[in-house]
Amino acid sequence: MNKHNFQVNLTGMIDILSHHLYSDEKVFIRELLQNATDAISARKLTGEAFVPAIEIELIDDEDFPKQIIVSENGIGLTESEVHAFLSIIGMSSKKDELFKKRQEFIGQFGIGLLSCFMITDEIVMISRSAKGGNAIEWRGYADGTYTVKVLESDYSVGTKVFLKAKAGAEKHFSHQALKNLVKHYADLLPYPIRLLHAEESQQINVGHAPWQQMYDTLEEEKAALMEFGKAQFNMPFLDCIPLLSETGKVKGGAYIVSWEKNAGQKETHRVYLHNMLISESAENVLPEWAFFVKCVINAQNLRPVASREAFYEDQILADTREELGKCIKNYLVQLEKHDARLLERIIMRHYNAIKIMMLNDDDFFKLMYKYIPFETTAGRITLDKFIKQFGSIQYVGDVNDFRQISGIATAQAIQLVNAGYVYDVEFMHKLATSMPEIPIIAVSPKEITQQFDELSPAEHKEVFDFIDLANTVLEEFNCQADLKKFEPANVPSIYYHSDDMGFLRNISFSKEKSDGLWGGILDALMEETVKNADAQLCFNYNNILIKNLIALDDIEVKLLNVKILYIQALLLGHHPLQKKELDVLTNGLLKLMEKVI
Amino acid sequence: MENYKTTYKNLLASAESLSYSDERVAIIEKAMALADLHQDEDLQFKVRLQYIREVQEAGGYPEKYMAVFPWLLAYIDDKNDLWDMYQVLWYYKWVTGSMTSFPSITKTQIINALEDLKNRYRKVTGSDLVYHDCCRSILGDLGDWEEAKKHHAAIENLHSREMLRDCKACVVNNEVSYWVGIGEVEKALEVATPLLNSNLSCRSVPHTTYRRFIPELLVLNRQEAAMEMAKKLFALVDESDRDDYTKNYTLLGFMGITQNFEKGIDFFNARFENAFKVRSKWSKFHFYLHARLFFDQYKQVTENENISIKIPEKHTLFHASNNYNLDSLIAWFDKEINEIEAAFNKRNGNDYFSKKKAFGFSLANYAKKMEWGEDLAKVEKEDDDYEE
Repeated sequence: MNKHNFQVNLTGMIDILSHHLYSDEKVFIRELLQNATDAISARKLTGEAFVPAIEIELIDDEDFPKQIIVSENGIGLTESEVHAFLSIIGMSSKKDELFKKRQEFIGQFGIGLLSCFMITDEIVMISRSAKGGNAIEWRGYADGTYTVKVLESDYSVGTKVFLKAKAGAEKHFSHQALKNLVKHYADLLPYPIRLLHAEESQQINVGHAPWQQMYDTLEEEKAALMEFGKAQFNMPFLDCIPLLSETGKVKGGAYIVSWEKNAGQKETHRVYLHNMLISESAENVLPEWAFFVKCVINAQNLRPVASREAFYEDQILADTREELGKCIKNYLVQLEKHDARLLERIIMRHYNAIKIMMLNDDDFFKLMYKYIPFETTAGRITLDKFIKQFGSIQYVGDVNDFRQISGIATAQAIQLVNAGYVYDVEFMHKLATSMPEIPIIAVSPKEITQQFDELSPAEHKEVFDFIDLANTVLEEFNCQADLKKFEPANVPSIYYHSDDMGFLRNISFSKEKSDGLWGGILDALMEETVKNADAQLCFNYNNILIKNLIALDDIEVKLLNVKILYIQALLLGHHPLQKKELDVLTNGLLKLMEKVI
Repeated sequence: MENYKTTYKNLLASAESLSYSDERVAIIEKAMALADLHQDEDLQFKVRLQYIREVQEAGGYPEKYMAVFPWLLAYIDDKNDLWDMYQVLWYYKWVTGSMTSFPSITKTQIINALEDLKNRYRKVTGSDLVYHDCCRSILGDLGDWEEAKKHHAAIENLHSREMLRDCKACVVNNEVSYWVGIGEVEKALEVATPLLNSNLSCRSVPHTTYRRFIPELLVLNRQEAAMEMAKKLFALVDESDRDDYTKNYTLLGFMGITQNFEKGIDFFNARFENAFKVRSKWSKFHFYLHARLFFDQYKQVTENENISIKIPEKHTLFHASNNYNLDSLIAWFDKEINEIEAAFNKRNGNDYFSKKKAFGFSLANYAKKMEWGEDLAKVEKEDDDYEE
């Protein structure tokens, strides 16, 4: 059996790596600065004393193609290292023993330099190693070929990379473009990066993040963080939370957005790795519930994927995420002690996110529940205030049910909480567990109507026939009629149904479209599973229309009105109408109009 | 006032933030009601597809997706869109599989539904492979193993891959179930090798594989192997885990057989609230059988008359003290088991459920004290079908 080597089309490979691995051709400057930083860090490790420097020189003479020269005085490469690391894709100089000693290096994969082929057809690199020897010139071409030459002239230790703009890439070869790119990617890099152009030299990067500075007071620190966040994201924030993770060696800040967010609207974050920006849209660095913050972090110990634009989903990332989540939680706990007003403001905006946090943390729940606002019949107030005012909680687990009966409940001096939104019912269960001394009860519209006033025996006699008649009409809809007195008087009726009835209505919806086979199967399913299909239409004896209807002699009109009241109640409760109910709506109204005209 | 489509989108977005659960299903139900209220057919279709998935993932209530599925069939017949058909046909497997759980659905209706599935698959994929897969499983569930064997033979003669077939792990797992069903446990263990070695797995596998083997290993007197599998299965049970309640039931029964009563009671109290609420008679039968096994073992070994456990407040058995007389509890389970056994035997036209009951009761003969020891580290469920 003979062994063969895989054949690789180098031009194609370079094309793939340059154009498909990286999301944006602008990353070439990041890759070059990454290499420059790593080279300087490597030279520092040798113990040699020198002043680190990175320069980007722009040459934009009208008569010649635009050119960039990126220079640094890092460790440089020897001739053998040039052959080994620059000519074999995947061979990184940063995997050998020297580089393994410290976790300071950004680049790992040995393919960063190739990103330059997105903006040039030829990379020229001149490097002189701190280890000694002559300077080496390496020229790499986009067609996959390269040359190596030993230079006789004297060069200082370090590396220079020369890039001539290829057609279409000239936009990156301008003063402003380069300045913006350096600020964007490398603002936090610890070595000064100077831009040289038309005899002017300017340091572009700040060289540090606010969390790397010392401050005299906490207020100064917070102000610096807030200013930084505003500049990073170009928006104001409610507050910022210092972030720290030992596992991922992460430092940074989480910025609380000032507008309400949905759980589905995930935030993206700016992530630096060893002070180099590697992602503006990392999603998975914070827990899922932290969708109300945007963060900027610098990590030392997270593993980037090959494109360096995201992190590997490994245990380190998972632990880091948890630690950062704790920072956010602890911040809110501390805020409760020191600035309850700000806490209330934050909760008012982001109660959904905070509810999720609370549901997963008992201690946090006990501390924060009193700040969470709910829609209630007494207005939008916190549960703490609701309990203080009314002594117990009756909650409705469905928004439509709450809206249907809240007016009626209030008129009856029954106070209710709307627990129909996401997490609300779970929240109530948890509240009931943590406060067993407070009655916290789920109520349905049916249970509310059972608290309404009953009719007197004489009134019962008066309405007996009406109820009977109404039941004959409502029977086809699996609904029963009832009559009570309740306020407000302008509400003629309310409808409610059990869960089983809801399920039955779903089956009926499907049956309307089903053929014989599935119609039969659905009937069988219904027979076995629907045991408590309970629906009721409760008429209001206090309502003038109902009183008139009861007194009406015209049976046909009476029956029609009962049907229409039933449909009206369904629509008010946002229940989809079945075909036969739609027919009542269209035909019933027409018939009524005919009667009147 | 918010446009209904915006409300619909917001509902789906809010569901996204939750793990698969009853609450998430309830949100999708609201989205479905909204689509139905506005008779937006496009949304009605999409939300029903999502609803079926949500109900399956949350687990426990197959009747919910059975209720909406015929609407989808009628829709694809009307629209005749191939992509829509593919999506609906995928779920047809789940729906037909769930039909056996309800004894009021006749055998004829099940066979006719399978025939309809076959015709639809033939039209879209040109293959009977999925049909035979479904028949082998479903006829097995009906106790008609002779017919199931014919479909197994048919599967062996067909090309093994087809776009709408279950994932590789499930395909192997289904074959394992078949071999166990016809009493060839050693063969089943051999076929299950890649599943038990973690070379093939998905959201349901090897969980369902373990729960199938645990009782069989007890009967083969391989108690240590059964314990090892039970611990692995236990490690796969998580907070939101309900897509196959029967694995919880098997674990409970096993904890009774091996006299790990404290663990069993904790497990019961933590995980079985929904077991009392399910509508599926299949699920109830297996729950009652294994729960009875547990409580009976508890009574015999501890000689206690009562047990302290949590039963849902609205259940007929509920007592505020949480203290239950074991004889009464076991008698209640016996009554329920017998009623369901009779209903299934009548529907199936055989005594398959009597055999199931007898097998379940016979596990008591293999009762033996075994230390559970340390739990294994919890294992995250796969997000998607996965194979090496």
